Amino acid sequence: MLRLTVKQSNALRPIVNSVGFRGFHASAPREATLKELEIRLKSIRNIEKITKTIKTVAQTKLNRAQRAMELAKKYQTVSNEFFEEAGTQAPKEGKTLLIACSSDKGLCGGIHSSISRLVRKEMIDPNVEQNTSLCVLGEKVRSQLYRYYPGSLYLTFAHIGGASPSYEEALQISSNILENANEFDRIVIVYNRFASAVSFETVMKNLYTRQSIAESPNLFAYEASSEVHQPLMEYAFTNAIFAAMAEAHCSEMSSRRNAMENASKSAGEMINKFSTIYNRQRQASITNELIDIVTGANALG
Amino acid sequence: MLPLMNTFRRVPFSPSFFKFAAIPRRGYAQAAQKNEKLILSMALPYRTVFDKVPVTQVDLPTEDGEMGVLKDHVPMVQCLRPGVIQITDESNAVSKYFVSGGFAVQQPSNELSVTSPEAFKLEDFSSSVVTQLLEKYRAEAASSDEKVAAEASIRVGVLETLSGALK
Repeated sequence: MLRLTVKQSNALRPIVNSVGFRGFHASAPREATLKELEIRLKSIRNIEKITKTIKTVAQTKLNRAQRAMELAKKYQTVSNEFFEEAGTQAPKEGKTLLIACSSDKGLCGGIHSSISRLVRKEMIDPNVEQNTSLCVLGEKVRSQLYRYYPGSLYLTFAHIGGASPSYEEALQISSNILENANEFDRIVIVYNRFASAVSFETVMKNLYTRQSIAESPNLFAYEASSEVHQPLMEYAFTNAIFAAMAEAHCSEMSSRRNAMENASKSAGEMINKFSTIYNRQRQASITNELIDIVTGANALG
Repeated sequence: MLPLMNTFRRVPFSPSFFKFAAIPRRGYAQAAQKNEKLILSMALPYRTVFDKVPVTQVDLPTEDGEMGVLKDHVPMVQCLRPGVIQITDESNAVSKYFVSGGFAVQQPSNELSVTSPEAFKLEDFSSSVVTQLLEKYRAEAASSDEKVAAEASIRVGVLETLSGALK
């Protein structure tokens, strides 16, 4: 992470004051010296380069992620057609397992905080809070939710979001969760839906439990032995996690791209502003020197 | 209306009773459009192999045994075993894919949905590599570590089916 050294950050205070922020001072604030302005300009230029690079990387990852997301959604749709026809109802009440799907990385705009916000909104009711266990995918959301619900955290997965989500990852996550999934009445997944290249929407989806499959109203239309219910539930669950992770990854890439684009734009504006101030300062110091020279020359002769 | 109400009063009042009293509604199976041909959709996590393609016959390796699906097959949900899926399309061309598992759902609308975590064309496999891997995992299946042995024996099962299919 970019962090200016202490010496530089102390040097910034008078610069900040001289460009418009007026604090309370016992004496007049010191004018920024040319050197300090130069240091600041250089650091802003570096930041602009970095944000531009992150933006380009996010853009390329976004293109790939979008394709992967479409395929993952298609995969889930094909495996979910059965539930639509059978009229399976995902349960909406009872002992809940809430899966929050995000990642470990930052610099992506409001991705993680909007997930935490939706989870907190869901858990505002104390009855719900008592009955809910949280399973978190990603360090960023874990640290946010830990502050509010330390007791409800059931499982956390780290090292998410480094690469495009793979089916193996989804399998590992789902097999860990499924070890104890049958004690829950309701399973819910919270993730960021990819709405467009400039926006995402945080949504909550109810997933099918084995009970709800067995109770599907139209199950009799299918020749399906009851032995198939548990594997089907596990399969649908894994596919749902995979599709949610793929979509969350895509939203994150697009949000990061937009955030870095805004950051580069702001950095560019700051560079222009400080360049003007720097040039003005430089010309003023040259003028001062000239005045000294001319005054000295006049005084001599 | 009134004489009918008297007969109902003899029976304990329950909402389900009205199901029989009312005109039979169309069930989901009848409401769905039934296609003329067998429509196959086969999807993998990273690839859609077939997207609503009309085919003649699909042979599936299910938990209940080898199953051939033609059009108008009864709707069913089947868990797939590792094995070969053989697809005969409308021009009678046959394509074979080896899958390690998955699900097959036949909808009442004559749509067959096959999903699997992985599927590859049978001709893309090399039997020499399969034999190599079989030796390696057979050795691991004899290991004392339970987890390693369990994983290896699952792999051996899939590989044996694959080598059988490749012959």
